[in-house]
Amino acid sequence: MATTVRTTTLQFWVLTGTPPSTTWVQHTGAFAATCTFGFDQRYAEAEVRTTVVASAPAVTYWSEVRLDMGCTPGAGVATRFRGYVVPLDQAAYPLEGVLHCRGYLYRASWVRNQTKGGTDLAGGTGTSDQAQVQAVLTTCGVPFTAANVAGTGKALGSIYNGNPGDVFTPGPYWWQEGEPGLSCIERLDEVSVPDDASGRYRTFETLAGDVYRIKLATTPTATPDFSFTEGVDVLDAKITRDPTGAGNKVIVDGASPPGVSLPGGIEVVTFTAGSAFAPYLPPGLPTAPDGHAYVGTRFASPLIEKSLVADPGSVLACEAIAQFLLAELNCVIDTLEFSTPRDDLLGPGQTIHLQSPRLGITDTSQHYWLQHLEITLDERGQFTQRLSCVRKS
Amino acid sequence: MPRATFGGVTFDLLLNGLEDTHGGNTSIREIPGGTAAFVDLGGPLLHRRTVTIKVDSEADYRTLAALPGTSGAQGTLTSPAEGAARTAVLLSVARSWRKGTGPQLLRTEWVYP
Repeated sequence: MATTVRTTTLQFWVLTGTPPSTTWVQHTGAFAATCTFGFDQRYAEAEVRTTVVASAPAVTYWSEVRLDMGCTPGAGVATRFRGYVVPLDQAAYPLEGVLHCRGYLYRASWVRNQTKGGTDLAGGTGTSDQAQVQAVLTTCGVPFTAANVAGTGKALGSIYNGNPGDVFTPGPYWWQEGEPGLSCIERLDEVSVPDDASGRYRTFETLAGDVYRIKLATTPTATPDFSFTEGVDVLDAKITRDPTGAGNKVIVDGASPPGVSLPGGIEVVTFTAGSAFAPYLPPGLPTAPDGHAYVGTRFASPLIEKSLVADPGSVLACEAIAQFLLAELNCVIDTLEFSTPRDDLLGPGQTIHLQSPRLGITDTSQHYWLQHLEITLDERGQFTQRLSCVRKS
Repeated sequence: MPRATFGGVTFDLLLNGLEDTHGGNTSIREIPGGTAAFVDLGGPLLHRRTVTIKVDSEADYRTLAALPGTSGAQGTLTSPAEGAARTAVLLSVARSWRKGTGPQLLRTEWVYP
């Protein structure tokens, strides 16, 4: 039997002191930890179990913390999580504290805009989505590298940024007073589709507290980042194929076109994308005049300023967003979940391959897109990574 | 017979039947359906010792029996058998037969931090 004997390490660090003279101090009472990342959560999270030791640094709300763990041989001791302690949770018997930690992006969820009347993120001539997101992140105090926060580069708001004659309705590109920063970012993310509809920009947090905004589609790349094999490095696995939520028609509505004044004007820019190919549809549905059955969904956002990609203006188009959403929706989603003892630096958005005859996955070119990752080092020092991956089929 | 002292009580520490345990946080996982296994080494556990002692009286028994789980359970165990005095934590005291008076045989469990 091929046996891998490895040393597992858990180090929990707390940032102490007052800036700029801060120091990382290890909390030696930490004995188990779990951290999670993924596109199905708004920010990274971690849970650290500690016991009382006299030398432990003081930990309270908003204490900045770091979680280093790993296996040797393996990826080794690497920083997996950085963020803050929010909230504290303690138990008396046995004397144990559970530190709930949230990643840096949680600041954007917590911090609300304090500018009276709100903040116009687009201005008179329009501002790119990445610049707007970076402005919100900066205001919220979320650390990021500008090169990692990308976007469509379009001058959003240059055609429609609200109706100056309607003082009661806020403009679409305004960060409202009292609105959490992350809500504003998510509103921008859900429409940030480039003209070629090749993906959608999403702000997320990955390992070590790094905040990224990159173009994403739930499509794995041709070459997997990591491959796993049943009987070699997979503890348990299951796959679910679910057509729930699938559709073959998407209607996208945007803002009112120029010249239409509110209130009273209900005309908006719009685009409908559809596909007759939808083998997952149940039989017996009524057909459209073209002879095919359709199940549609509708998406609306006043941040979309034109109908067609070919229409004038460097702004977001209903057409691109509709085509992107149709590609995401017009399929059955395979959800593959498995856990592995292997220690690789996995992260959301990576392409994963699993070879599993028991699950019927034997095609070497069939890869999956890593949606959610959970890393656990338990109280016995056992290291496990749990992956949830999706694939359109 | 080595005489030992702990928590203000002097007793005989019987070397016969003494058992030392040295364990570790070791996790063994064999991959289902295959021939691979992962052994995770999570660090050593504390040295534990189980030993029979003989106290001189019922009062000494009661003194020791009151210690486990209290701050008094941590102390210095002085015994010629140990060599130098060592810090130890008394985990449990057990006896199978109650004589009521006179010397008592006790089964004790210790951990050495």
